[in-house]
Amino acid sequence: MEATMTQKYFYAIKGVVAALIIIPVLCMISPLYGIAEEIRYPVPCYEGKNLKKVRAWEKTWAGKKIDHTNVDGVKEYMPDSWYEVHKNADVWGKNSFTIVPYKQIKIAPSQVEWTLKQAGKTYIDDNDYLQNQVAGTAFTKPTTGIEVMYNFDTKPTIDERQQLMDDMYLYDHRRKSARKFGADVHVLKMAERSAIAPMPELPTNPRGLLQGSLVFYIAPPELKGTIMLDNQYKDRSREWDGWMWIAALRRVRRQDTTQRQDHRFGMDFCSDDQNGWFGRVARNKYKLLRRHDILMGRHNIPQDIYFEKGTFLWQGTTRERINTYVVETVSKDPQYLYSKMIFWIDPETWFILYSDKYDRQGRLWKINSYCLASYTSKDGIQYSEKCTNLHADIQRKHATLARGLDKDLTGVYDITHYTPAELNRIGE
Amino acid sequence: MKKIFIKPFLLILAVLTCILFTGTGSDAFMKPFDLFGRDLEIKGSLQHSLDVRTHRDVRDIQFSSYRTTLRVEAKYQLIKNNKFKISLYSLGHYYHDFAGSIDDHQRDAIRNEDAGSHALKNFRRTNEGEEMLKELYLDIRWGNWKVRMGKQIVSWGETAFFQVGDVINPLDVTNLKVWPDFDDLKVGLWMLRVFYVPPDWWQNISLELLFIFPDFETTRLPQGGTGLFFGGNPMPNNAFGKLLHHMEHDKPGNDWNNAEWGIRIRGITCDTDWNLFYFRSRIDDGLVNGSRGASQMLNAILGVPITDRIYRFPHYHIAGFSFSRAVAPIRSVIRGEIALNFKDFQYGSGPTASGIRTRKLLITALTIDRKIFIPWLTPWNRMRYLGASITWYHYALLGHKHDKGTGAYVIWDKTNRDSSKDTLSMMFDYGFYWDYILPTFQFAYDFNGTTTLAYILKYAPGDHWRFQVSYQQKNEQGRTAHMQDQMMFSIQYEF
Repeated sequence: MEATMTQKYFYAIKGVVAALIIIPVLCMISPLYGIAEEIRYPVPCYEGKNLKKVRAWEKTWAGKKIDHTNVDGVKEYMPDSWYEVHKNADVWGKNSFTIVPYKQIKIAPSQVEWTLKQAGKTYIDDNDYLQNQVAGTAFTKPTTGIEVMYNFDTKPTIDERQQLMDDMYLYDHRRKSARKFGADVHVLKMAERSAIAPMPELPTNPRGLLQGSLVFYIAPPELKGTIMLDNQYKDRSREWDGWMWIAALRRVRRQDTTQRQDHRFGMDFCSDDQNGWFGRVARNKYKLLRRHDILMGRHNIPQDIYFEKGTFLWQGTTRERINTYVVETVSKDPQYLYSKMIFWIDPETWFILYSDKYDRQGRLWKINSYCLASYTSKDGIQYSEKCTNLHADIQRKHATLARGLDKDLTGVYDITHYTPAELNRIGE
Repeated sequence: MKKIFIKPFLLILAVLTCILFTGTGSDAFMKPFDLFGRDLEIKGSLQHSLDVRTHRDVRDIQFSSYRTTLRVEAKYQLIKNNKFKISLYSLGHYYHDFAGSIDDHQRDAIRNEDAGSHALKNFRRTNEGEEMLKELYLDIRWGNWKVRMGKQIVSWGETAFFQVGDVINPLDVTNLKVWPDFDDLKVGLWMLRVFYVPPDWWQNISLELLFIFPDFETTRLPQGGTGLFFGGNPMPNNAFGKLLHHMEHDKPGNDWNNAEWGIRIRGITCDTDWNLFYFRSRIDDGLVNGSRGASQMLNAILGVPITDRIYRFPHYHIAGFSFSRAVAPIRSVIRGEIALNFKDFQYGSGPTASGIRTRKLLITALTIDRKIFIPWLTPWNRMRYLGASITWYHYALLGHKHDKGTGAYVIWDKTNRDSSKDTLSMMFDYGFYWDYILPTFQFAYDFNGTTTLAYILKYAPGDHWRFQVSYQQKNEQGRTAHMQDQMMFSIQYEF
């Protein structure tokens, strides 16, 4: 029987009322079921319109060697301090780099899988400690400075690594003289592993270690034999432990947190400066300042990079435009050696690729710059890792430069290597 | 004189030529030798040092040491795979001391107070092949087991400047300076060490067993008429040489009864590294063998022939515990060590005390290590902190008895009669201009006696050359300890 007009109106009104009830309810419950918000990882620096803009810009600049004569053209894509050391050739020498097209960094499928598995479950507690982290990058879409820093802390890198840094200089730019150093770095992740089996944790890890690192100094001769050991813990509230084998005393010496701020062996960096920041994330307060398109090195060939006296930086590097997170960092320790640090963090690899560090008087003291290279492990895992480090004292014009090559250490891990007892035994 | 001069002169010239020829600034020499794809690593140093006395006693010696020392370390990786790792390691040490050639008084003092020309030859250089070889061992790693066999120098315990638990190797004090290089100070011993380091034991415990083959080595004492004896009266009749010779002659033979062994357990508990250890050994520097030994000692001094044993080397045990912990509230590392020695000591009066008594010597040491922020200086010097290490040592001789009737007492630590003594040692080190300039100050205060100070200034301009000048000072009221004061100059090339 055909509905009357009144009935039709009634059904229409019922439909509208139902929609007005159901839609808001759906909106309320949909986040719980991930319906409305799509979780994506990895997220490239550029896509869509932004990528087109970058490609258009690269038509002019990709392939160009940037030095003091043309650096003004890319000034907006460089931190101010980085621009200064390239622009003022009279002071800093003729430094240069080559621009290459942006290329998204590939993350290992297992790392993507672990990140997505825990997405939405990790959080930061009231004491600034990361909770519920199992493996993978902590936050797929960080919105605060501390979330970006925990992504740095949980960045997708290889779980077992050896890097031979036999091209390392302490460079005095005023006297144009360099002293040579060398180090062999071994790193093993015991927990939060996402690239190499066993995942996410080694079968025996009684001390609850997150990561162990050993630095064997191989040059100069009097430093050869000195070994530094660092232990980081899964419990992020726990302070890191450090030991040093001192060959002259034939003893292991424990390091305390103050010693992490000491500039040892005449270098321009302390323990905390490694990787941009090498300490517990919760030691600092963070503020996400902005996103910043800058030129940074991510697809370098280490063998092409070289050091030349008279210049202040590594030469032969390539840099591409990436859309970094800029995080301002202030230590919770009022007596900390830096009043402020600013980090430029790569949103794909989560490495700190550049940082400015300020002294207690608020003056720019140091710049740190890292270039990445792409490696493939013998198991076919692609990963990115630093191939050059630069720690430069801008005030005194002195720099520590290091270039390293990753060697494949996969499958030969030995957790007992990363204990003070073994440090004593190796050192002797 | 000319003949003596030519040989060392040519030696120095040859070595310097090699260094200059290969190029001190070239990349090839920038790092230690790595051969066979880094399987063979060699490093070492060539050092030329001069000790100049600032006070002279009756011997009137100005230059007590003028030495060229070559140290070479080598490590060869024999096998390295997922299951095994075997490497061979060696440390060699050779020196030639020209002090007798440039200072006639030094030469005469050695000849007169020790065993004549033979002693002078020993002073100039080590003549024993095995003395030149400090370490030579095979290191084998297999799973959780690690074995090290061969001639080794071992470091147990936490303290570095005075021995508490670090008593495995005898000492070589022939050219003792204040706070010497530890590689030079210890005598290697042939031993077997077995380590068991499982990854999953409770408190991260690991074990070390140490077995020293029956190859007893004594403390290496200096020749008579040399540095350590300055301030004391010269011994007549080459007496000291005879006593030194007898120390070698009287030492225990190489039989299994003279094997030494020890065990060490290490762990980490509540963020504290700890060690428990036990070592059974013999006294390295000998005790006078009772009244018979004492009378033979007198014979030596009077120039009468020695007909019987002078020294004995009794067994003793030592057990101890050490720990190390970072203490965040005081931004320091605290290290502690306690060792109980069950040892024999001389009993009687005077230096030729005839009796031997067994006593327990308890040594405790507490150290605080700290990096100190110096206002103005630390910020100006690129946040270079002052390194400081302060240790309090307490020695207590348990069951100590002083016989009021006879006046006899137990002598320990060579002269001490008190039941306890305390020593405070400090070390401060710093670095200027990116560690090109490295001053160090070391200080030891014995509450019962001597104060020892060392001021050291090191200049490290490049990768290889090291220049150092230091001043050693000893103060002891009413005594002649200041005769130990000296300036020391050193040029060292590291390769």
